[in-house]
Amino acid sequence: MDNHETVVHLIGAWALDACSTVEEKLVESHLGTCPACTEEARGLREAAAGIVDDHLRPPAGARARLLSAARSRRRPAPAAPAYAAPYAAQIAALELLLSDLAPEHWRRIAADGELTVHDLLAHLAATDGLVAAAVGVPVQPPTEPGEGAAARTAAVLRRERQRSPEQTMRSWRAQADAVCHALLAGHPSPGSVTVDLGWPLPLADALTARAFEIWIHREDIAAATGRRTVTPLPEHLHPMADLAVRLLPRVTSRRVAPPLDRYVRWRLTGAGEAWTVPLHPSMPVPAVVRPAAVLTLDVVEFCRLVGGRRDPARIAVEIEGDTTLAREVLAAAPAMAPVP
Amino acid sequence: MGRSALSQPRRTGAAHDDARLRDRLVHGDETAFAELYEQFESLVFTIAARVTHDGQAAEDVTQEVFLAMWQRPLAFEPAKGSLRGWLAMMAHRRAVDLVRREEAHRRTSQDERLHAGAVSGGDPVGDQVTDADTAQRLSTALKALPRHLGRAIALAYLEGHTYREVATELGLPEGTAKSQLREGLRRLAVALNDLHADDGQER
Repeated sequence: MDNHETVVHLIGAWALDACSTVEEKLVESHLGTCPACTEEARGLREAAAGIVDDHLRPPAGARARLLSAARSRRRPAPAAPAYAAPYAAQIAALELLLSDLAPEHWRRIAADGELTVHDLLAHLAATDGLVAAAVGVPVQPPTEPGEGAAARTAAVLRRERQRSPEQTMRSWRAQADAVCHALLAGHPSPGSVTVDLGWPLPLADALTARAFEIWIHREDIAAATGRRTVTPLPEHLHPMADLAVRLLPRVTSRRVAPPLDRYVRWRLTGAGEAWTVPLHPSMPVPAVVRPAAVLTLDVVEFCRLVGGRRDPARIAVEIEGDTTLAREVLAAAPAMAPVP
Repeated sequence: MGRSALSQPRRTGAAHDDARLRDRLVHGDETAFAELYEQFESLVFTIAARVTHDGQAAEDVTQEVFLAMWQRPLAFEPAKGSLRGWLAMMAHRRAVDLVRREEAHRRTSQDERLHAGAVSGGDPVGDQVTDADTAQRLSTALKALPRHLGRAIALAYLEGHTYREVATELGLPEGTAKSQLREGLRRLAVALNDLHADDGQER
């Protein structure tokens, strides 16, 4: 039904909140289908914000009351040292998404064809638990010696499937808080700890890898539950892309046809940087080197590709130089993604 | 007139800043929340105070607007308008709801009619809010509009009247009230745009 003629005359009243509830709904359902009305509505709303000159101020004390109320309504990201800021931010962003879910959303399949949203959170808690154990935070159930990421996930899944989503969420968040707290305290020092997350990673890289995986699964959960979400902040995407680029030679050395003494250059738009990467981890990167291929693509799409969430054959990429090599490297990239 | 000013695309820099602040809130950044408050407390509180005439009610509205932004930052979509416009809308809707509820309550309980448009009791915010002179409460830009347009907008926006009530109050057909509200806002948009363009030149 086209309400354009009715809505056009109501837009001014709508922008002033001077319509009946029914008319307000009518206007809002028309906006979004009609570019002209949407544009006018936007302009009139902006104008309405200028009806009063804003020179009154809330009383003293209002700010402190607000900040304390905000903390109790929604916890901020846990305080963390700079290298763990992307991790802390992903914890907060995922909690925001999860806190909005209805009971039936938790049962939706969100990844790997069989993991529900609840399972996926248990999986994230399990892998975070490997970091937690490495920095001396007690975890439930206790880790077994030599327990890898997959075994850890299986153990935590068994436990969490007996519990409610709210319980899983509480212990997942408490564990993340405890990890950040331990990192802030600085024992052990970040340089002295290695965490095995499929790859053995120094502590700082392990936290970046955690941030990366949490974000990728946040997108899985948002897609499975029809929720909106946002990509990580640029300053958090950068270390994620950097880690992925540094790890790439470990998969290209096994999946790209020799000769392996070649280099590719990644120009990741939005990251403000380009990386020259060898095909094999043992190859040094000289100061001046001519890459065999240059791949230009969006940093977010690059991260989704290495996170196993994009088809390398269909990703939007610009290739210069050796196209065959570039295609092989793209095809190898998703092999970096942990399963699921 | 109006059309060209309305369809001017938002400065991409401002839209980018709004999106970034929103994204920092999504990521649980308390510093971003404090910045949001510092940037917009005055806008939100002034709208709430001008509509409710009640300092306590205005503070409550202000708290709820900012808490909503902290708890549901993704409800704000930068592509659809500015953060300033979004917060102003949330403040106004909440304030008007409060006034209308109070009005309905007063009508049903048949209490003696209080000062027009005022929410009961509360602590008025000094002479800033108790000043009943409507003109005093309007922006310089709105006061520059033809008087009949400014008056229609003030009745709707500040007194929380629907356009039907505005029509009754002014003795106009409903269609005329609707078009005066629209025309008034369109002219205000142009005036505000010119104002901002001047600001830009000064910088």
